[in-house]
Amino acid sequence: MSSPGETTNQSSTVILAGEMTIHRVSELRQTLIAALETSRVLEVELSRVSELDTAGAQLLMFVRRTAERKAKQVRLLSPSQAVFEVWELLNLTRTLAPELRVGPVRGESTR
Amino acid sequence: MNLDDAVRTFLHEARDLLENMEAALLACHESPPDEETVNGLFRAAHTIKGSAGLFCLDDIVTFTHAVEGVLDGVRSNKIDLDVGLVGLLLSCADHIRSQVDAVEAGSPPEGGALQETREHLIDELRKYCGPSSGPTLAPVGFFDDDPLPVVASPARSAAERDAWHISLRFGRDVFRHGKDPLSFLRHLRELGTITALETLPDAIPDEDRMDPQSCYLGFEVAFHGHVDKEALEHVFELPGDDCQLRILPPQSRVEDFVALIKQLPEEPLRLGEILARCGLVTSQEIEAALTAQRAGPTSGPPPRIGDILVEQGSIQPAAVEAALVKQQQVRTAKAQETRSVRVDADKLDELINLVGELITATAGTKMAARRTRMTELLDSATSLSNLVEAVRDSALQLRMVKIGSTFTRFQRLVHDVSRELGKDIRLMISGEDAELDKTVVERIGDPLTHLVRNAMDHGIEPREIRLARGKPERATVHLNAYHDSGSIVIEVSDDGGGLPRARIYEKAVERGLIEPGKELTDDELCRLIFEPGFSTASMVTNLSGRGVGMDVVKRNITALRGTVAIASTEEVGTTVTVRLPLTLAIINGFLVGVGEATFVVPMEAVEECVEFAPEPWQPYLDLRGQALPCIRLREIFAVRGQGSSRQSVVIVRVGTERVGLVVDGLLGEAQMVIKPLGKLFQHLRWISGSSILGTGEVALILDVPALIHRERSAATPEEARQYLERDCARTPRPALAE
Repeated sequence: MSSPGETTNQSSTVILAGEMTIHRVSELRQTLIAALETSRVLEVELSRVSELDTAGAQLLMFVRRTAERKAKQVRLLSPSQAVFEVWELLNLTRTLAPELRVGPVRGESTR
Repeated sequence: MNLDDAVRTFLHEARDLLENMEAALLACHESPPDEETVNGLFRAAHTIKGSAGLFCLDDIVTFTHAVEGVLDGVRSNKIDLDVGLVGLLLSCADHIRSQVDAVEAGSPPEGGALQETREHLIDELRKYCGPSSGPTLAPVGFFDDDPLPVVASPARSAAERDAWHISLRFGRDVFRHGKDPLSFLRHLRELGTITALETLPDAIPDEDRMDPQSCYLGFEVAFHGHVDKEALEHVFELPGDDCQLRILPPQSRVEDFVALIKQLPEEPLRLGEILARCGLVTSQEIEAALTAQRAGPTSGPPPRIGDILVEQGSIQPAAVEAALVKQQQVRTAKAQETRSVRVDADKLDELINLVGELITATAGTKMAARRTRMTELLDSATSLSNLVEAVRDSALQLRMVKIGSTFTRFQRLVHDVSRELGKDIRLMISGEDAELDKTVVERIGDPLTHLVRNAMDHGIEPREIRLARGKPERATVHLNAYHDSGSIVIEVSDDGGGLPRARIYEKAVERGLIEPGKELTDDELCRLIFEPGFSTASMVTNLSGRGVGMDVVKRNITALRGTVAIASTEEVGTTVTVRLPLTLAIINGFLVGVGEATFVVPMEAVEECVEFAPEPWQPYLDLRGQALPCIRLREIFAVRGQGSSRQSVVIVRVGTERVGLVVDGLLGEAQMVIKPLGKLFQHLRWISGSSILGTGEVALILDVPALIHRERSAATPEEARQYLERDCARTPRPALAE
């Protein structure tokens, strides 16, 4: 489940867990956009995402772009193996997580 | 730029990459390889493979592919880069180099021996791959198993241009129909390699209108694989109406891409950029084509884009074009790294020759100006000649190269020889930034190789002795270079056993080089090992078969107008110091006058000057009790006129041989530019070149080794001794007939 973490005016963290697929994108969209409303910098923790499909990837692109339009920041942090694999295949790692230096978080991909 | 040039660039580039590979591999010995080193190795192999593919050099492609496979295993931590593998990879680099050499020589790519080596090496490589990564070395489909493109990889293989281009636009409902574009891409990946992929998010609408369950994405994919169009269409059959599929076959031309752009929903220039990122076409090409079409005449039918491109000559065979792009990338990268330009050495020589002419012409102008006694003209002639000299200096500077690359080459030698000798030796390098003339660098390689080998072979003691002497187990050979008063000094030192004095002495006595019981200074003793026939093999170890001794080293260095000295402390180490002129184009000369003529004696050869000449009939000079053969320059060069009453003797020395040159006057030292003799004069003996004096006169540079050789063939030392004995008895003798 997704759970908004400690929220301040400045930055907040959302930890996403489980699958991030077509079945949940509507719900996730609301969570993420809502979290973006309340903070300048939104950090999304992805180490516990077990599955990502094209719809999920598209959602991440959408959130990032929305943030850009609103002059806010979204940081996608510690992608799990599953997430990273899709990013690499779609050549999105640089677009979505330019600050990402290390590879995927190993061993936490299933939950 | 034609294809030949492109091939040449490939050869250059491949050699550079191989050098980098070798350096990286050797660095693995010093410290465990970091990620960057391994990536660098992989990229080097990958780039060579790609460029070779471009020129259809299938053998190189096959082989580098195997190397790349293993390196990929290393990169992904599947294979351990141990000492054995480093050795194997070094041999592989050697093999690629010989393949590259074969290409340059234009010899048939399948030389028997070359192929044998190749198969042997591939077998060895396969062992490292192990069964788990078997497909890495599958004999067919060399590109099929390329790893997924690493996003940051800067070295995109040129062969990737030889790929299908697939343009995908998915329908809004593709997700709702339970289909995931990812699965099609994964399927595609099973058929070959996705060399580049760009995801297009442009169609994703703004916040409110965006439905996360609709698909707004498009993909541009470059794909390499041995498939036909039907097979590719088959992959995307399942999404059917939910996917707009456009496929361009490999080697498609620019206009095909432009046509594709026109069909797609996105903005043309943005698309052009994305296609360029896929690597199949450059953004400039597309931009140019689009602009040209837009700007075409409004009346009448618009010109077809293909025509425009042909007119502009921008359509070329795909391979050459790819080569151009590749080179540009390589150049930009290089420029950022070293900011240097590759120039043909011949062009530099030509420039320096012209500058030489310029100096001669200036000297003439200056003389003429002086005759007119016009101050203004004299002033401008003087500043002109100053400028010309500055130009000369910077032109000579152009030929200067750093000695570093020469030094680094020895890493490999030390690695190989220490293995061969079973000693643990490391090479330390310092002063690699010291610069010297390219021709000197080229010719110093052999003597240095010999010195380094000698240090390892004879200098460094076996492990047990080292330990017994309390030295570190790992021996060091140190190469150092620095500038010192107009010359470059190269030191080859080792922390080995030093020269065994007693044995050298013994040996010298045995060979009749010194009298038994004679006291020798350290310096004299050390110098003995440069004597011809003083075999290094008999000195310390039984390892022989070098074929050359230290005397050859010395001769080579002397030929470069350099000197070599040796300093050694027993049980502590040996240092060989080679001193070379910075350039062969300038000589530090000693000017002597004979009648009207001026001659230049290379300063290195001059030992001393004596203001005293033998009587005209004496061919030998009694120099402090020793017989010194004398050459009268006036006689051998047939200079007219009588010698002055006060003649001098310049004593020159090459190696251990000395001879006196009888001249009319000593005119002093000067630095001068050497001009090689023209064809007409090349048969002249005893003259090695000419130079222009400040007065505009020509001065001939004496070839001292040749002069000494003349003297040696004219008389044996035995004759000289007999002569001196008779001379001492004051027997008058007629002048020696020539």
